[in-house]
Amino acid sequence: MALYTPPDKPSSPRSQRYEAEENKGGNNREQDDIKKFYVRPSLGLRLWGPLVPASDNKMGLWTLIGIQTAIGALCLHRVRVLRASTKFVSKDIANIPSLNIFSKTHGSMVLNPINNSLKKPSSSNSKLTQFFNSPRWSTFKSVAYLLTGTLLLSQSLLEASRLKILKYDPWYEEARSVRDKKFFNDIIQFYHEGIDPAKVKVKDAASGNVMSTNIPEVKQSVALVRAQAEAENPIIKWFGPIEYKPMSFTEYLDRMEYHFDIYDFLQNKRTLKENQQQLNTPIAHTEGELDSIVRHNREVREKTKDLVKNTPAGSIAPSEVGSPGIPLRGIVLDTDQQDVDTIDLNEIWSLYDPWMNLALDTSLSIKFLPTVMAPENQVKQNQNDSQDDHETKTE
Amino acid sequence: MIKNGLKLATRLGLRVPQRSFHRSSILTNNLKSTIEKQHEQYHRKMKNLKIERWVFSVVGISALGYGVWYFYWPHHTFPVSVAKILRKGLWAESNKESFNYQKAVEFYINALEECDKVHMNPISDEYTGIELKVAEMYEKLNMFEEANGIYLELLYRFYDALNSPGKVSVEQRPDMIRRDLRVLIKSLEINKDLNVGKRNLLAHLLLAQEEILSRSPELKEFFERRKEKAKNIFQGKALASTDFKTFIDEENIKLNDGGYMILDLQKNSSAWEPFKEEFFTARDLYTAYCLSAKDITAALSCKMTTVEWMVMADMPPGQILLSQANLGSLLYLQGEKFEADIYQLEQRCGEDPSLKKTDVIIKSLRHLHRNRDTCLDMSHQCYNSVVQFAKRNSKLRFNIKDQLDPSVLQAIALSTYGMGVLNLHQGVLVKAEKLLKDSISLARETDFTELLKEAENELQKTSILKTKKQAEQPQPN
Repeated sequence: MALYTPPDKPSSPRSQRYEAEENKGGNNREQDDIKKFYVRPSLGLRLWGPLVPASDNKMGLWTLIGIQTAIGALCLHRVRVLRASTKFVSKDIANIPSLNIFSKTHGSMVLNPINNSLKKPSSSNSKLTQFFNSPRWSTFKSVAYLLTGTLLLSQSLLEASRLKILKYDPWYEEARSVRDKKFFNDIIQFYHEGIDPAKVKVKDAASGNVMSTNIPEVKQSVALVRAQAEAENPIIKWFGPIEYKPMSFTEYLDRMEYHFDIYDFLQNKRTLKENQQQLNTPIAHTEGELDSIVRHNREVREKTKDLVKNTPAGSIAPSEVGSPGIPLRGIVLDTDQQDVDTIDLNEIWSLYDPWMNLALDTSLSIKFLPTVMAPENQVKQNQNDSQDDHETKTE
Repeated sequence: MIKNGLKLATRLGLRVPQRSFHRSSILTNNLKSTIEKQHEQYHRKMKNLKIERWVFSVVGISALGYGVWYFYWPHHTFPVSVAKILRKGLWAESNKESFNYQKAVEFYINALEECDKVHMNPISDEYTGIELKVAEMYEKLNMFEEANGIYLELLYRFYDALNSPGKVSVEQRPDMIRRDLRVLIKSLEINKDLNVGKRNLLAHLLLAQEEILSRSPELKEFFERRKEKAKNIFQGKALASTDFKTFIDEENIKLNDGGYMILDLQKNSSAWEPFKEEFFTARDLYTAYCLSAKDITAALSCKMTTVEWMVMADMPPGQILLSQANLGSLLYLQGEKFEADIYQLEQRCGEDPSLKKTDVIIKSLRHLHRNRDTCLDMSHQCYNSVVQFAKRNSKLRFNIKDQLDPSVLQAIALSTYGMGVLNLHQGVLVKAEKLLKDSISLARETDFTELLKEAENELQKTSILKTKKQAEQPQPN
């Protein structure tokens, strides 16, 4: 394995370099991309048009929902303020002394408690401003605000419930899978593009020597790093792979309906199976089998603990312990890590994730190799006519 | 108008007392108190508004903060007591204590017991992760039986969880199935009991298949198509080799602008994610199990489906090529089996010539001959599709060494070898020799040692046959 270090500035992240490179000659490509761009789907963010992020970009979706909700709330708030300003307090004239000095007549009049001092006398205004000052206009305004606010809030609610309530979201799954595929394609592309030795120098991590850029391992790791940088590109992070076309809303609904149907069917089947488990011949393990394995494992754990305590270190598997090299996927901690309790457990655990190790262990490539057999031999032996070799793929 | 006039009057009236405050009277005092009340109301309202704004911004900021926390804070957290033990375990396992697995395993076992004490969810990532660690340590200490015990327990626990409705939420299922399949493959690698292995394979593959079916209408269509086909066969329409089609073409394997094989973004294969790699490995293992039980028919039908599904799942092109080549191998094996049957029947006829005239024998011989030819023909189609695809694609033809995925080259080498074996089988020795030599040079390039060995054996057979043939041929002159 080789470690890549950029040639001049060791600290500069390589992603920037590549972005800069691509931007130089990428104008034509960009135009093509825009031509091919399809608006990302959503349930309640359609008002955002082409700004809607990819369906697997939950952060982006929530951000837009947040902004949309805030605008909606603001609209409704405006309605309240407007209504407060147009709400005329109705009063009996008799209670306002200045108007009622000489009269004993009763009647109601309205007062505007807030905007009184702000309003200019209407006589100096044109008809248009008069219209804008008229209560009809403010009613219209408040209705418009009310409608917009309700619309925005209900849309936000719709999208939020898509994200929170829906357990199966075809758009999300599609976007996620497309992102993975794009990553794969990028690696292929960058691998075959090769490395321009003038721009990129690759050094051996151990010795610091400059390595040839034509070694497949070097090309692989550089392609991987470039693909990662491409995936981190903010535009691609937001929209997902630009050129893909998300499924239509009808297909979305169809898939959802299909899923619910089949899922219900399978759940019912499982419930039935659970009830009938005793009757059927076992197609999977039996309960007794599980119990005995659990018991067995518990005993093994106790035994191992005893064994480990009572035998000197390295006596069980002496080949591994104390051997000079680092074993395959062995944990290597920093030299300046001096104390057990200062280990960043999350980091080390995810770096040497047991599930990841298992994935590497179980990545097999199985091939069947036939050989020519005379029929008489085959009848006699009728065996070993195939060789299935289980070869672990090494990365 | 009257209303407006009144409003204006009121407004003027309101202004009066402010300006001529000293001309106080009871009336203006009254008015003042009204105005003050209104002002007070207004101020209260403004105050409310301010509080409201405050509340809104606090809610907004906390929501944002929560969001940031949710996205950036690692969720992989252990309870403090468990974390303490795990750190010690990692320390012992690391270079700090020169990879002392013996000490580490004890810590990991203790951590597991601590997890039990704090009632951690036994199907959570954290719990199963520690179990895997223990198993890994067992393996490093050469305790493979013990490690397999853990894998089996995990396997059964996952299966039960996935099969009891409501225990695993819908969005977690695919990931859990992926883990289940990984543990399955691992346990099969260590496991010695063939029957248990096959039973587990079937049960867990079915589980994964159901999961795909619940998300993929395409898979349902596939099953319906197959049902239709089965009905046709039942009605007596024989399966001809013309019905058979291979999947290696430009329609199924997409090429990018540079001519390299890539995945098709437009093909919706999300139902197979994220466990498709594990799923197809497990299916291949099932095929291998069938083969070792000498059930070529089952192996064949499994592999045929696998190839078609791989295309549906949009697997990496190299895998599809390899799968198609493997299918060719299985078809060849099936063909050879038919040939062995023919040989057996003919031998019986040789012992008892009267048999040769019975209808049953004649019919079954005809049947066997036709089946053998069909299988060999289909096998040829499989291999040929891979070889021809490689020839059509200039990048594969000329830059064959420069492939990121070794399985591409392996598939081509295997197909070339298979073609050679087919030719050798049919006695076309010159062609067989050339193809086998080609495959040997390809196998050398990829370090495909198993193929290299077999190909050299076959080449030897070819040359022996060739010399034999030359010796038999009447010499000119």
